[in-house]
Amino acid sequence: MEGVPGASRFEMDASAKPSLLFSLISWRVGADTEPSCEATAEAASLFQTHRQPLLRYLRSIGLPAQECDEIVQEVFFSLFLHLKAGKPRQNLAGWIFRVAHNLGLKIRSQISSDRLVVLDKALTEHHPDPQRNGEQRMMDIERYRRLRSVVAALAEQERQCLFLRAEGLRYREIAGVLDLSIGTVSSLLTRALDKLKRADGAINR
Amino acid sequence: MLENHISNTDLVMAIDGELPVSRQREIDEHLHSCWRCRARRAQYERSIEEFITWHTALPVPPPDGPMARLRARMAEASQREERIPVRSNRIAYAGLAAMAGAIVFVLMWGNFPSNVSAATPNPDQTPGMTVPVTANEVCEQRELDEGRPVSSSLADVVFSQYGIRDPQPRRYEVDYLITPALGGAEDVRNLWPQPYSVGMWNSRVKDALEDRLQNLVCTGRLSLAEAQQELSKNWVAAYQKHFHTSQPLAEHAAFVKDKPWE
Repeated sequence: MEGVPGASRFEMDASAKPSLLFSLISWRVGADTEPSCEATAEAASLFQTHRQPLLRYLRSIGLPAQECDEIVQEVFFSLFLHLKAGKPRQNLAGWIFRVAHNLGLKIRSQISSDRLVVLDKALTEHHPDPQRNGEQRMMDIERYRRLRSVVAALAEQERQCLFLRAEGLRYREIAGVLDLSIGTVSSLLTRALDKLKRADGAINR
Repeated sequence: MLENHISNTDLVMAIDGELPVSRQREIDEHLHSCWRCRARRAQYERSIEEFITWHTALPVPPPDGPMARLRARMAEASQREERIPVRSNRIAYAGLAAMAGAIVFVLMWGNFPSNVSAATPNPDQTPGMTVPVTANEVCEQRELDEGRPVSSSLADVVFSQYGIRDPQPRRYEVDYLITPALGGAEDVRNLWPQPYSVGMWNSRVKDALEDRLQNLVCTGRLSLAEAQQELSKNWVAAYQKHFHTSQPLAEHAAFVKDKPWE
C-alpha cells in the first residue's frame, strides 16, 4: 500500500484503452452458469441493428462524436452483461435507448461547454443523397437548411420525442426512455410535428 | 356538414397507430367523409417524410472498428469471469452495493468537532492511501470498487480518531478521501467522517467530483496518479478547477449518489 505523494507507479498504463466511466453504468452481475457466447452473439447482433440509430439520437442531444461512440460502447457492453446475467429481454430496444439517453445526459452535464457540440452544428452534417442530380441536391440542401433551423428551435423534449419516434420507438417506449407519460409524449410529438408542418406550409405558400 | 373535426393529437396518434381500435375506427370513418381532416393528415405525413429523409441523411462512421472493440471487451470479460468463478456472486452483490452507492455510515450519535474543517479531512490523520492498481484496471473494474462498504469496526476507529462521540445518523458519511473507484485504499488513513450537509462542500459535492475525475481518467485526459493527488491534496480546489466554479453547482449540492444509512 502506498501514500499518494510517491504514486508514480500508478501512472496510467499507456496501453489502456480509454473508456468512459459512468457511475450509473450497470454492474457486473455474476452468472456463472449462463453461457457467455449467447450473450456475446445477441449483443453483437443488437449492436449491428441499433448502433446507427443510437449514434444519430446521441448526436441530436448535442454530444460530440467521440463521446457518442464511447457511450454506444458502454451501452452495448452493459447490454452484454445484462443478457449474460439472464435479465429480462423484453423490449431491449427501449432498454438500449433508455440507458443511452441517461448516460448521454450525464456525460453532457459533465463535459466542458467548449467541447459540447452546439446543436446547430450537429444538425448541419446531413448529406444529400449523392445519387440525386445537381439541381435536386441543391433543393435538398435548401430543405435541410430549413429543417435544421426548425428542429434546432424545438423545445428539448419535443426534439427528443421526434428523434426517438424517427428511430422507430413506439409512444410507450419513448415514454419509458424519457420518463414521461404516454399522453405527454403524444402532446410533445404533435407539437413538434405542428412546428415542422407550419414551416413546411410557410415555404410552400 | 361535418362538425367536431379530429384533434391534432388524435390525427398524429392515428398516423402512428397509437389509438385504441374503437377510436381508430371512428377516425377512419371521419376521414372518409372529411377532406379538411384528410388534408391535415397529408400535411403531417409530408412533414414526417421530409424529416425522416433529412434525419437519415446524417453520415455515421462505419461499424467495423467499434464492433471489434466491443467484441474484445466482451471476450475479456468472459475470460476474466472464467478465471474467478467463485467470486462472481460476491462480485454481484458488491456491484449492487455500488449501484446504491452505499458508503457505510456508522450508527452513533454526536456532533462534529469545531476544530475539524467541515470540508476536508485532517491531513495528519487522513493523508490519503492507495492500493497498487493501474488506470486500466480501475476503469475495467470500476463497478466492483465503487461504493465499497466500510466495515463498522473501521468506521468506529475513524470516528474515534476524529474525537466524535455518538455521531448522528444521516449526518456523516465515513468517506474515502481517495475513492476506491480511483484506487483508494480501505485504510483508516484514507477515511474520514465527512458531514453530509454541513456547509456547502459536503459529501454530495465530492461525489460529483469523483465521477468527474473517473471520467477524465478513463477517457485518458488525466493520469490516475494526478486524480489521486488532487483528491488527497485538496478536493475542494480540485472541484473548483474541474467545474470552473468557486461554489458548488446547485445540481451537485442536491446530487445524491450514496444512499444514506440510518
